[in-house]
Amino acid sequence: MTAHGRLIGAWTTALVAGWLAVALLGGPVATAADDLGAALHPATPVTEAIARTSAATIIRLQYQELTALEPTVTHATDFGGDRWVLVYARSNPVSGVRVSIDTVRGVVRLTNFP
Amino acid sequence: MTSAAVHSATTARRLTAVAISLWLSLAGTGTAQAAGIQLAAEPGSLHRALLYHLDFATDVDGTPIDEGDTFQAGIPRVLTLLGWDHVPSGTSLRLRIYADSRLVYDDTRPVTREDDGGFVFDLEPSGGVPAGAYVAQLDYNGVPDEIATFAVIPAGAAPGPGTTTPTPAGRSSLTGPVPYANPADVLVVTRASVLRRTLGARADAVLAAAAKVGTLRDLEADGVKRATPDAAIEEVHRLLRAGRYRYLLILGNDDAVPYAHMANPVAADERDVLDSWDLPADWVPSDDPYTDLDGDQWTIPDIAIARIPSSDDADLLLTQLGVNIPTDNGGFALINQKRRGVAEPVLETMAGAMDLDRHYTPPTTPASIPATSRAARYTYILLHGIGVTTDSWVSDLVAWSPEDIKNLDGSWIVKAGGQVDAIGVAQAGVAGGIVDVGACYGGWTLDTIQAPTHKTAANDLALDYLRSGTRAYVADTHISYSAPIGLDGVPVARTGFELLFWRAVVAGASPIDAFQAAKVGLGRALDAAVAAGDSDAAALDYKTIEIMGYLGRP
Repeated sequence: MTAHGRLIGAWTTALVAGWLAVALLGGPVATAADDLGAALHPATPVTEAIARTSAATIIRLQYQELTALEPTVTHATDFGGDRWVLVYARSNPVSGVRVSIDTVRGVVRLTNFP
Repeated sequence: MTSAAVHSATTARRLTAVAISLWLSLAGTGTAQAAGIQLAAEPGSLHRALLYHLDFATDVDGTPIDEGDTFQAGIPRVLTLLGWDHVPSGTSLRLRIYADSRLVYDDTRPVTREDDGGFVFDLEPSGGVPAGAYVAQLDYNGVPDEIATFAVIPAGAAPGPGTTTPTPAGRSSLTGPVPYANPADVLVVTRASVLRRTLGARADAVLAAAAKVGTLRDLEADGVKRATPDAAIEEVHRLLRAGRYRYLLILGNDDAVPYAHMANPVAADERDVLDSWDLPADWVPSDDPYTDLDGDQWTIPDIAIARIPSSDDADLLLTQLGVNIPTDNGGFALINQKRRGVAEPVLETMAGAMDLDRHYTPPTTPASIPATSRAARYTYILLHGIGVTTDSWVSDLVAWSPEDIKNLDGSWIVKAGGQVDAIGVAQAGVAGGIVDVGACYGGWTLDTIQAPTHKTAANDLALDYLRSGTRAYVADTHISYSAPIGLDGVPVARTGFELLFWRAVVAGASPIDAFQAAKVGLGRALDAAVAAGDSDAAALDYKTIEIMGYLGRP
């Protein structure tokens, strides 16, 4: 094979490898905005695992000062609804964030103490 | 921060010295009006971002230096610090600063750091910042989001008034006395045996004063002991049904007329936080069952309830049973700077009807709270609190550091770093004022397991306000929740209650009627939330209704 032929062969191999890499690795790397958007609109029905992941992402992106805290996780089924509630809070003084995620609709509400 | 960046807009429009008389005419009241600036009905950032209050300082060294809204002429620069918890990448933030109506600074920056970020805008004209009244306007993607003011005063001059939003043209401030309820409409209940034991010789004077406020009834007049909530509630229902009352006044603290222990709908979420304080999580103190005559499922009071929650402070009781007349001054607000966005609808509701002196903390410290706060007609406070150490409320501190020390006009890293006292009993109290407190346990006056176990005006802000002659004091008895809602949004949680309360106040309702309207209004929101399947809003609304209390004479 000529030098010219080897060059085309190498180029073709690199091109195919590149296309394969893109195909295997998927789309572009998600941004923080993408992550937050996904966390605020979790897939339904929302399981505890999904709720924990969503809340952790929201805290990581919006309330970094609370990321070291372990949340209190409860599953409430009152007032005609079904939701996960994850609370990241300090006790002295009482301050923190409450993340509520509707299990059926996936609606996320953030409220603060106070 | 060294003065690396001097913006062209600033240097091109260097100010000449401004006469102090002109500053006095513009500083504080009327400054924004003079600059021809108006806010949009709703901040552009609402529901999209969590921005802090615009903060002014002369330098930054980890934390802002010389934070405040009044500076001495001759300083080299005034920095405007804008921090945020979250702003979407690409958002355009524009800051313009006017000095006595002239544009002296204009800079627009795109957000690249979405979370825990900030910008530092540097007004640094050559020769120093001249005296004058300055207005800073922040636009969020082209929509006016916040207006804040500062003044640079001639060296040696006394500081002027704080940041005051002027009363909008065409609207008059709410003035004059706030009438108390007709005594014929008021049922006053207590357990006289408790008051006689705790007040001693002064019990007669207190009971005589109470008898002038309404129809006074001893819950144990028939000799039956009624020390439990159920027994007291049953007797109050009997008394209410025997008359034609519009208001109930409970005289005494939990030992005299016990609070009902209502189930906390979000107890499971709060138990961990409250354990270390030995405070109850499963139940919340509430007076609502005392007038829930129709037994509705949310225990909405059918008659407005007020309480003067002291059994052993005769001076406090006599002050509250007397006549407390508010001044004609406007409003005063003290807000945790991290909650600026949440507080905005409440502040705008107030500012639509009165001169509102807004203070954010930090930078405002207990020592820098203006003396005029003690003469405000209306007061709104949004801070952190807890039911044990009730002698102070606190706010969040933030620390600033540049992402790139060589580019101070770029993004800054802004992180919360602990809490600091914002107001204590030494600074609190407002004679005749109508006060609404959005702090957890802002209305808690019950004894606690942890010290100080017994609450008095010396260690409890609620009692301190009442002893000072506050006309009406509205606050919660447990953990309460701030929720981001717009001016016209659906009321949710304590923020929703506050919005309903202030709407009624500025419409001319008496404080007790505004309080009852807010309870009923949030009850409707609760019904709507249940119907819409929004169980989280329903739970928060239900708890809010339970824990909001009116302290003082109706």
